[in-house]
Amino acid sequence: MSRRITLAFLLAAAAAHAGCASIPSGAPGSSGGGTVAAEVPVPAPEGAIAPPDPFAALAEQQRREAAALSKGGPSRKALEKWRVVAALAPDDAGAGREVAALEKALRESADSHFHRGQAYLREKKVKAARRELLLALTKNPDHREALTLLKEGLDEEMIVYTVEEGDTPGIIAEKLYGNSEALVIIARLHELKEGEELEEGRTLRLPLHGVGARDPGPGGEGKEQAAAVAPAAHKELNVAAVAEIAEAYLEESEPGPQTETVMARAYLEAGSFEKALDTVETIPAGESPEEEILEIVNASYYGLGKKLYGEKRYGEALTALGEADPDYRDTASLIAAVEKARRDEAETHYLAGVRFFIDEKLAEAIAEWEKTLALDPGHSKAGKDLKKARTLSEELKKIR
Amino acid sequence: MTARRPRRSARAVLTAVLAAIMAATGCAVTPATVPPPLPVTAAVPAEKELSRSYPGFTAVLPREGDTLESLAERFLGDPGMGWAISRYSGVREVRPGQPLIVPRFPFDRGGLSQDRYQTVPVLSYHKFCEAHSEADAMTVTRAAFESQMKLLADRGYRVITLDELYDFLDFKRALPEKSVAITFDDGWRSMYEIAYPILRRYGYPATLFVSTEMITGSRKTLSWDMVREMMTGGIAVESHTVAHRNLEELKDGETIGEYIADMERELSQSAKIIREQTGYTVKYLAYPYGATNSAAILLAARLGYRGALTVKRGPNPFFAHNFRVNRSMIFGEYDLARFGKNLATSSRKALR
Repeated sequence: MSRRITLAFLLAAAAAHAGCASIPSGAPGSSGGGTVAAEVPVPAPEGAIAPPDPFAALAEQQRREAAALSKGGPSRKALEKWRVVAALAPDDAGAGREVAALEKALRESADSHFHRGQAYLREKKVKAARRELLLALTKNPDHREALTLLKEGLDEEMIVYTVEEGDTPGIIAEKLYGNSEALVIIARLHELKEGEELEEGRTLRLPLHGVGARDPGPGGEGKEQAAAVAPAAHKELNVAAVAEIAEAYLEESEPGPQTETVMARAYLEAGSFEKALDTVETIPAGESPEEEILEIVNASYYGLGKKLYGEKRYGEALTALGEADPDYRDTASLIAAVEKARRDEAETHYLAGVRFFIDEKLAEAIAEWEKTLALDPGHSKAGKDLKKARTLSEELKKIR
Repeated sequence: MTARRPRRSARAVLTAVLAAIMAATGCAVTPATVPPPLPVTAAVPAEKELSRSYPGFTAVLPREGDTLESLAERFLGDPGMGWAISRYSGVREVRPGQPLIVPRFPFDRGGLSQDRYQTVPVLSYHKFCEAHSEADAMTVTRAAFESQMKLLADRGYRVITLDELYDFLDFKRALPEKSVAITFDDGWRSMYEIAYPILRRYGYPATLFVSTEMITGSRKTLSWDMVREMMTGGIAVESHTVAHRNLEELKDGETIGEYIADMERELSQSAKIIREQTGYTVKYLAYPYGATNSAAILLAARLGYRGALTVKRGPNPFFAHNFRVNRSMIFGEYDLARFGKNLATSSRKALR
C-alpha cells in the first residue's frame, strides 16, 4: 500500500518537475541539511513557477531524523519525531504507521516496567523499584501510576492505612503505634474528631513510626544535624537566641576539608567496608569522577566479601561479592572459591549426619542434614536422607 | 530490538530518490500553479508564510535577524524559552531561511532520558559580611558571594524560581539543562544589605524563608518594609515558621498533643503573618534545622503547602520528595572550587 502511494507521489513530482523550469538553488549548501528553499526567489521565465515551499524540506528532514532515531529501538524521542512528520505530511501513511507502532510498543514496555516496579516495592527493594519506575516514565511520560508511585510510594517512613470496621483515631493509634495517646497525630493530620468512627475502607496516609522517634527519612541519614541541638530549642526565643542556636547547629555540621569521597576512601582503607559503602551514597553527584567512585564501591564489596569468607559466612560473602564487578580483580574466582567452600562445608555436615545416623542418634543426624541443606539446598543425598530420618523419627515417636 | 522489515528499506529508497529529485531541481513537490511573475528585487515571503501551526508545535521559517530569543518570544510568549527551541531542534543558533520546529508541547519533562536524568541544586545561605575576619560557617563575605554569583553566569546556569522547580518536580515541564535555585533563611539584615543588590545586578530570582518572629527591624534583622521592597525585586517570601522551632522532635516535657498543636501553630501562623504583612500566601516551607518527620510533612501538606525543603546536601532529581527537597548550605569557609562542587546537574545513579 505504501509503495503505491509513494509511487504516486513520485509521479506527481515528476509531473511537477516537467512543468517546472530548472531554478538554480539560491541557498548555499549547508551541512545541517534541509535548505532546499531558495533564500532569494529568483525571477522566473514566463509561464510560471511555483514559489518554493520553504517547509517542504522540513518534513523530509524530520523524517530522516525520525528514521535515524528509530534505529536505536522504540524510544520516546523517535515517537515524538514521527508525530511531527505525520503532522507535517498528513498523506504519509508510513509515518502514521510508525506512530501507531511506537505508541503501542512504548505503552507496553512502560506497563511492563511499572509492574516490575510494583513487584520490587512489595519485596521492599526500593532502589530496584525506583529504577523500574523511572524506565517506565522514559517510555511513557504520561504513565500516571508510575509517577505517583515513584513520587509518593517509595517513602519508607509513611504508610497508607486502610480503615477497618469500627476504627477510631484512638484504635488506629493503638494498632500502629501501640499508644492510644498518639491518636492526636491521626486526628490532627486528617482533621478528624478524637472519637470519630471512620468509614471502613477509607485510606489514611500516616507516619510509620508515630512521633518522637528519630525519623531519618527515606534513603538514610545524609547530613542532617538537628538532633544535637534540639534540647536547646525550647529556650525563650528572641533574635539573639535564634542566632545562638543556629550557630550551635552549624558547629555540629563542620564541613571540614575532606570531601565525602575522601572519607569513603578512608573507611575503605581502614577496612570498614560497610561504612565506606554508606558514605559513597552521600557523595554529591558530580563531585568525583564515576570511575573513582566505582573503584571504591568495587573495592568495598570485594573487601567485605573476602572478610566474610574468612569468617566462614559464605552466604553473606556471596551476596557482597555479587555486588562487585565480576571483572574486578579476582572476584570471579573468589566467588567460585566461596561456593566451593560452602559446598565442602555442606558435605562435612552431611557426613557428620551419616555418622550420627549409623550410631542411631537420629535427632543429631537430622540437625546436621538441615545444616547441610541450608548451605547447599541442592544436596540431593541430604534431602533424601533427611526425609527418611524424619519419617523414621515420626514412626519411633508413635511406637514409644 | 525489532527486526528490520523489508518494506521499510524500499520506502527509504523511494524517499531518497524523491529527495534527490527535489535537491537536483530545487523544485517544490507540489502541483505547479501559475502565480504572477515575481519582481526582480528579492521579496521576503509574506509574514503569514513564515510559520505554520500544528497541534503541539509550530514550523517556523526564521528571517534575517531572528534569534532563539526572538522566536521564543514570538511563538512561546517568553524570550527566556530559547533554550527549549534549541534543545528540541538540535540547533545552536538560528539561520535565516532554515526552517525549524518550535515545540509547544511539554517535552523532556523532568529532564529524564534513557540513561540520565537532570538534577537541580538549591543553594542555601544565611548571613553576609564585608570583611574576611567576620566570616564564619553561617556568614559569607560579599566578595565570595559576588564571585559565586558570577560563576553561575560564567558557567551558563539559569537561576530559577521555586515555582519553576516544583513544576519540574511534578514532572510537568523541562528546565534549562543547568538550572539552580537560590534561597536565604531566617531574616538577617545582611542579606538585604549585601546579597540582595548583587542578585538584582545579575537579575537572579531567589527565595527568602522568614522566621516571622525574627522580622523586627533591629540592627541585625530585616524589617517588613525591607521584605516588601525585596518582593518587588524578584525575591519570593516563604515560611520558615514563627519561632524557628524544631519540627521533628518533642520539646522537654511536651506531650504529643502539645507537639502537634504547636507544629500546627508554627506552620499556619507564619503563613498568616506573612499574608498580613505582604498580601502574599506562602506555598513553601523551609524546615528549621532542616528537621522534619512524616507527621510534619502530612501536616504541612494538609495546611496547603505545596512543598518543603531540608538542608540535606545534594541536587534534586524530579523524583525527589516534594516535602524533602535537598538544599546545599554554602558555608563561609567555602572557596570557589568547593562552591562549584554543589552545582551538579546530571546523574545516572538511579538508572543503574
